[in-house]
Amino acid sequence: MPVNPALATVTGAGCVCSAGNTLDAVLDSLESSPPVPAPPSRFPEVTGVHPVFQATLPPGRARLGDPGLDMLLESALQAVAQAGLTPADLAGRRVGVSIGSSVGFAVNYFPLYRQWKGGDPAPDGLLDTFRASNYALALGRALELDGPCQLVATACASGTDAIGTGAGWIASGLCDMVLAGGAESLSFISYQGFIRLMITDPAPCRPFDRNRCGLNLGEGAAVLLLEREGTPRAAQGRVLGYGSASDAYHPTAPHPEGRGLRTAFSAAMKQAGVTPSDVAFVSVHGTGTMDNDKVESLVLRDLLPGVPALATKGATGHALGAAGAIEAALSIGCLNRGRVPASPGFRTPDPELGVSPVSEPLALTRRVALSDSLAFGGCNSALVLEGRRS
Amino acid sequence: MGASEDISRTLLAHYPPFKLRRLDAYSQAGLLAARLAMAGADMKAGDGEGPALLVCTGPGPVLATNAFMDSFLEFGPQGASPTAFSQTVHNLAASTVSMFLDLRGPALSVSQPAFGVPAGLATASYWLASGMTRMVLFGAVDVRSGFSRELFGDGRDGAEWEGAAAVFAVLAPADAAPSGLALVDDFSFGGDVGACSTEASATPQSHSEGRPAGSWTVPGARTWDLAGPVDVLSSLVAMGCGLAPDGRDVVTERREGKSASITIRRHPEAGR
Repeated sequence: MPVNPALATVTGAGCVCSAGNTLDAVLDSLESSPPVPAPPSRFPEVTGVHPVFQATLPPGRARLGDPGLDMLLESALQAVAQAGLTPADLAGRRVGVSIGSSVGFAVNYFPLYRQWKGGDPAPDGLLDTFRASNYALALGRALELDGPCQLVATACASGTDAIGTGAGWIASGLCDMVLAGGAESLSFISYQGFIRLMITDPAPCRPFDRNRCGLNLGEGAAVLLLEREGTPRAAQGRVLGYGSASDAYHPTAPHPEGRGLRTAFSAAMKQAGVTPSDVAFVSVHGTGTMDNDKVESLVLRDLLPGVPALATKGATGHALGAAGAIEAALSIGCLNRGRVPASPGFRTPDPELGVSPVSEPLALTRRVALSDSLAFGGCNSALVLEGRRS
Repeated sequence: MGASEDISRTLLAHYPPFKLRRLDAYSQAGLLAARLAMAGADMKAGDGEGPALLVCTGPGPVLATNAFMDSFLEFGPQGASPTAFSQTVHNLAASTVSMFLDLRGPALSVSQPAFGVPAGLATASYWLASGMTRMVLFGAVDVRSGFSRELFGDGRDGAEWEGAAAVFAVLAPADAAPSGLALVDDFSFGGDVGACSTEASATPQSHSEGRPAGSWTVPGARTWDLAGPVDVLSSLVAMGCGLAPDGRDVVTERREGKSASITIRRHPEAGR
């Protein structure tokens, strides 16, 4: 069992992605009828057929002019509401914002760049939207928060890192609360780029599957409201540990032995005071690419033998900077439901991997989970999460 | 900062040309500044342990992102450059530094036009205090070009550098560093009205009315309107090297009614 005090208590969680517009809706979808990807409808420049997991906000929830920002705000409001608070209740408190996103500042300035290259002036509205589009700063502005604010941009590990560092702000006493999570909207740049890297699947992705051949991009957001231990508000869960390490190996490929991921897992578990026998499941990065799943499975075999693995990108897609946050929220949700769903997209074990994600719903008997992310640039991160205590 | 050719030439003294061939000005500036900081702290690269790494950037690797867009515009979707795309990630500087200097600890990148350095310092401070790492290689890297000025401002007043610029400093716990340049005492965050302060006693320095939005001040010096992470961190480092006579000073970054302040003072052992 965990032997160290938690970094932070989770009093609220919100999530919007292709699988649903609340955390409960996403979990229900995973358990009953996960979505399947479809060709993107948002990029007039592209005629490709690589499917994506595109999210749709409920009517009236589009507020800020960008799907990622809208999903981020919606997720933050859900988290605040679950804690029994309103945005006005945050005033006067030391509230930090720690949001992960792979594109950070540049939501997508391709239209502006094309205009500029052609010698044409940029449309004023588009320029203003871009200048206000840093997700973390925009969320802080929308909720009128004055605490520390950071946009964590560690590619596909951004969401995990944002939650880990946000929990650190709580543990250090810098903040009373932190809205920590991630957000990403489907980007034409990313869509084209991943296709050109030849790591996308023209069919629905199959994480850890013998026949896997790449990822499907997704979009979404998830936010956890983090507070100190001893908060009067009901705990939905806890962040017990966080680990991060760099492969220092290659710009895009993971280290073949997964050295950074091993270090991240070990550091997170050490900080949390847990051992593999305490862990109910691991929410894996599981993109469905040959390299990622091979390296991740190697590390799981060595460090966490026999621990069930849950792969969810077969229902959410790879939401890049938001992925780690979505998976952290889902992990806490699964812990509190006492079960994990079957891993969507996975069908056929790969004997070369030696690790397969759960293919049937599984009841949980422990209340701690791990959630990990691997990223371009050699970033590896892991969280140790705990569900509600009875 | 410096001309791209000068930075490249300096790096070629340490790395063969083929290793540097894929690094643009942004990455090279970050790598060189990181090397210099580690050398200044008598730290060697390549021992596999090394400090944690935290890099702040404003808009990230704009040149690399534009290069990918150029390939798309010129050759269409089927001809867009995958190599260029792989360099559009906003953790490119941290990734490059970690690879070339073999830094295998935590590596965080923060990308935002304002308040990145104070937030990053808060994170680095926690990493050090919690024992997560013994040292942090803390830096800021950015590029400025005609297009970035179009995107991020009109270049009033303070934007006096062009091209790539980077600044790095090595951070360690005050009680673990027998000598150093400066001490970071406190950071606080707040709005112009009703600031939420940290537990420390330092307060943001007052500013005269009418200061343009997006400005930050160096007491007794200019106000820069186009501040970004490089400007803020370089000012902190400069102030750490030679401060006002009372030895204690505050750098405040302000934008759109919000502020973040960092209090620093010269290390008592500095210069001995």
